[in-house]
Amino acid sequence: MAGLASAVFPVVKMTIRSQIFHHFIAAAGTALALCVCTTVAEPGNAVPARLTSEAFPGGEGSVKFTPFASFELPATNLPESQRPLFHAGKALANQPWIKAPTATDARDGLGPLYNARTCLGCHINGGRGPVPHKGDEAIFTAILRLSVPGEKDTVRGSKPEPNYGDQLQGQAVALSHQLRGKIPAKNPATNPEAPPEARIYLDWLEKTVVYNDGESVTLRSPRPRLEELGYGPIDTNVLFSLRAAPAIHGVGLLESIDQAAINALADPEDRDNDGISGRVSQVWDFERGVTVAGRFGWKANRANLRITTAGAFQGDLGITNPIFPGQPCTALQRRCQRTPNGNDADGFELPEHLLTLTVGFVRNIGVPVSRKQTAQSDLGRTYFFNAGCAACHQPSYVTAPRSGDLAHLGGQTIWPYTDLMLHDMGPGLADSRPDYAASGSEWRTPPLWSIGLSAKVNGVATLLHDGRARSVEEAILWHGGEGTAARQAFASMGKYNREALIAFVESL
Amino acid sequence: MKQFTFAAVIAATTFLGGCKIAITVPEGGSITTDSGSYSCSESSSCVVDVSDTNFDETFNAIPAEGYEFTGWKKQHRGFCGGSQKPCALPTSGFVGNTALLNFLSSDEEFFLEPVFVPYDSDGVEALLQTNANIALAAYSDSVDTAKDLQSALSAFAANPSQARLDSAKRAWLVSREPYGQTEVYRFRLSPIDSSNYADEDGLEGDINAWPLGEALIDYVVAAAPDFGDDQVGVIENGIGINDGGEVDGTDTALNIIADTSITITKALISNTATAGDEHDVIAGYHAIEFMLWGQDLNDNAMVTNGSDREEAVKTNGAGNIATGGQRPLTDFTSDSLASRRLTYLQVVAEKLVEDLEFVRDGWVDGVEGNYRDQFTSFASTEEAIDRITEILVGMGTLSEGELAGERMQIAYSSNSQEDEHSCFSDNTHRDVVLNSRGVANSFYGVYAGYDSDLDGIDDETGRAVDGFGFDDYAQELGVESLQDIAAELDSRLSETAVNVNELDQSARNGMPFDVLIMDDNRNKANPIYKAIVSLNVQSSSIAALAEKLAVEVEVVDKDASECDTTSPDSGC
Repeated sequence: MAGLASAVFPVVKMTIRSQIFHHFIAAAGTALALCVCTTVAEPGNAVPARLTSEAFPGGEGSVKFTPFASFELPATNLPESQRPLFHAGKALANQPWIKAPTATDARDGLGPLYNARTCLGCHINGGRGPVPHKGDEAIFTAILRLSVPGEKDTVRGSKPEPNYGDQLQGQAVALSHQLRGKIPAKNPATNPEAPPEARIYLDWLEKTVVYNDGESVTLRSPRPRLEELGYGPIDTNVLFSLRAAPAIHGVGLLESIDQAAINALADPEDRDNDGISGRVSQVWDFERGVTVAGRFGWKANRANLRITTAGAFQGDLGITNPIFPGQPCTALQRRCQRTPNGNDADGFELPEHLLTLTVGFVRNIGVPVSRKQTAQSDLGRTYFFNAGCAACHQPSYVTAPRSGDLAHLGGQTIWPYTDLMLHDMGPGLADSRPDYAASGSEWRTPPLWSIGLSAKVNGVATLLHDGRARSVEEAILWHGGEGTAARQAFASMGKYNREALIAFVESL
Repeated sequence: MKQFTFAAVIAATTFLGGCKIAITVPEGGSITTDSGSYSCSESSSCVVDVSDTNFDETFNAIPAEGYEFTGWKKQHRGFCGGSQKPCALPTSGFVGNTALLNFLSSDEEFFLEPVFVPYDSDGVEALLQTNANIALAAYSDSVDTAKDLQSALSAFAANPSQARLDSAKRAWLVSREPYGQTEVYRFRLSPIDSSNYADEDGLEGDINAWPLGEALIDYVVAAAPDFGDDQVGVIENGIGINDGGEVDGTDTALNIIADTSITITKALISNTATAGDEHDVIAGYHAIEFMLWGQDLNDNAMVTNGSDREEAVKTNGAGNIATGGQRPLTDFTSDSLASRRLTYLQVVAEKLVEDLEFVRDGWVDGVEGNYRDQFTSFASTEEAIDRITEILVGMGTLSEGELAGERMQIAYSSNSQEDEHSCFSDNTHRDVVLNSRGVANSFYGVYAGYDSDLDGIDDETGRAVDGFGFDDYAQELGVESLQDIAAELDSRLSETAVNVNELDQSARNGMPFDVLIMDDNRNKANPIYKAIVSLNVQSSSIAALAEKLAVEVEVVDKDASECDTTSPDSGC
């Protein structure tokens, strides 16, 4: 890890200072500016002075919301002229895609195999998607990635399972699936419809962690179980990676962070010997046809929001588009290939201008203002920094200047608490499935902003890539590998201090 | 905002620095202390230096006429945040507490800001009752017209004829007239969106969801000229389903109507749009619409000679009988699946009526614990403001995000016929007019009834409401800045009404929504464009009204702990 000082405020110092000054001109001035200098210069897990901008994690676009918390509201500073386009993009993310054919070529083409009918069907209200807690409930709001061991495909980032591809789709447009349980079952051998690839269930394993003070916490982890495989046997060496839908607010700001600012934090060989070796992911840019840095997705396997969104349209909804023009059917899935598609004259179910609208919606979702600080959360803030959480959960950046329609995303002081890099999180969290540059135990640091609002946004309070953690506390306790020291620092605290740290995280 | 600073009344004694209290007083009241030594007037900022232990002051917020003090603003380093009591700062109590004394001697700045809201309890009561009365009237009219539709469908099923098909279509169009005005009650966990006023599990998805999954319901034509190469893949792969040919016994098993092993019941079509994203939309108004009209397949939507999309359109003389799709009568008579279609229509209609009745019942007066009961009663100013916020959130969300955005902009910007609200019947212009009228109804506190003969005039006025609206509330409070906002919103609602009426006229004159969204028609004179713009402008006025009437209602933070006034170091 490079110097801890720049870890806390990772962007070029002069930029930060001018930004800070700008915010504080009306307030206390010199004293606070002095604090900033101290923070930047001081090594170790120092606790930086609290800044007014922390109350506005999404910069000038931070949103206040009444009466319902939401991760699907436009950023406050989104220009009036762009708002109709934001809502049009939201319609594409929100309204159901339907089976082809219909009287339009603009809204049909769901599937034939798919995981969800809409984007916001999993990213509910823009928040995280739930995973089923019971073993007899099939998964409909998360995805299961697949691959087999062997030489990775540079473009796809893994070696797909031959029959089922690199993602298992648990739904199909087939009538027999849509009305499952309400109509007589069909004979799979003679039914000409393309069935779902499988029904996916989760079995939960539990283990208990005991704190020094005797208090214990039960942790759980999921094991996927497949039933009703629709297209023959699955490779016995298949590797699974269960991925819950992440919250999608503020991602346009994350996209606006200069890659150089992230690169500056990287320390792949752990030269500074702090036990943390952040690596920038390397992924395929499907538009430019080159390998580039990745920053979106649980394994940072997508380069930017256009590719992330287009990839999800194809893989999760079965909606073809200019970046991913193929149906989600493998070569062996003939019934899937023969199902009617919803392509337009150019051969896409989602043409370029509609992809642009959807990406515009995603990019401009505002980050809620932070929760009120209390004495407890203020204390927790100190412990957060002392424990070294901020080494990976980088608090703040100033976004790079943007121009044109993106101008409002540029030059913003934001507080996402992520370094957008890959870290080895140890065997407890590992899925053993490589994904581009990420090994089976590496994960991208997820942002922490608005984490305490999740349950209010859509009732989903689960965390981590597969939704195993039911609370911030459980999520912390799952940290291993590079996160071991921070987890141990947390676990060795007294109860009050642990709760304080959690209160701080939930206030962000 | 005027800016002035108090002179330092208290001499600095043993401490060098001194913490400061920055006071901001907004419009609607003033601040004074118990001793009278300090006061800060309306719309001004003041700074108080507190540097020793002799500062024992209690700050009182005094609302002006028409306003109420709702509490001290919650903010970082804000004193008394969230509290409604006078704000006491007894520094004499700091003696002996090093931490507090250190604060006193520091350069730290703290804040004190009262929140004044234009408020009158009786006015709010009248506002909420009117809002509920309109909902009850509009949903009751929706139930009645849905029952009329159900009767028309029964008559049609008993003896299918073109005349009875037309009267069923007419009944469907009429049923949309009151329902369209109820949509302003969405987005607020009222009965349409929530069964228990807490979860988002309402029946809306079964009542009015679209796009419809028509390909799951009945045959749909592919490879029609309108689709370009849309369905080339189907033809190449040679599957004989949904292929545009005559429906016959070989098209088995792939849609509900054609698969005769499926029994068509209410259970089959229930919870289709809501349950965990599992199913297509196959129920509600638009399922009936699809069954009556069929797909709207006019080829390039140019207004020409009556052979394509504009044929769909009611003309001046035809009394707004939209005929968007061209489902032949034989689908209901000689076709082998005719009886299944008639059954489907009747089952969907029966469920629609039941669903609407459930929603209506949530608004009935005098039922303990129903939505209306909860909505119209409030125990505190804060709760009253929450209720007002509910109304305004519905109005604002429908105006901007839903109607202008999801219901118009997406169809307009992408020439997407499936994204128009009533794509089979070409009745989308009415959806737009009625949705925006619903917003105006909530503002003015009126409901004029609905148009029962489709001539554009509200002639069914049996349940009309003329009550107490936001315009009346602003008038009653006599707060000038509030009246200004209300007047601005009034003019913006009028502008929207002009634009949506232009859209209505355009459709009645042969240029319906789906023609207006075509690429060639996309320009700034297009009534859809103008309506989108004015709805957006109107929504900023609604936001301004919400800001004025419900400032700083931090509903999201409701269960967060409040700042402790007696311990200034709690850093709230």
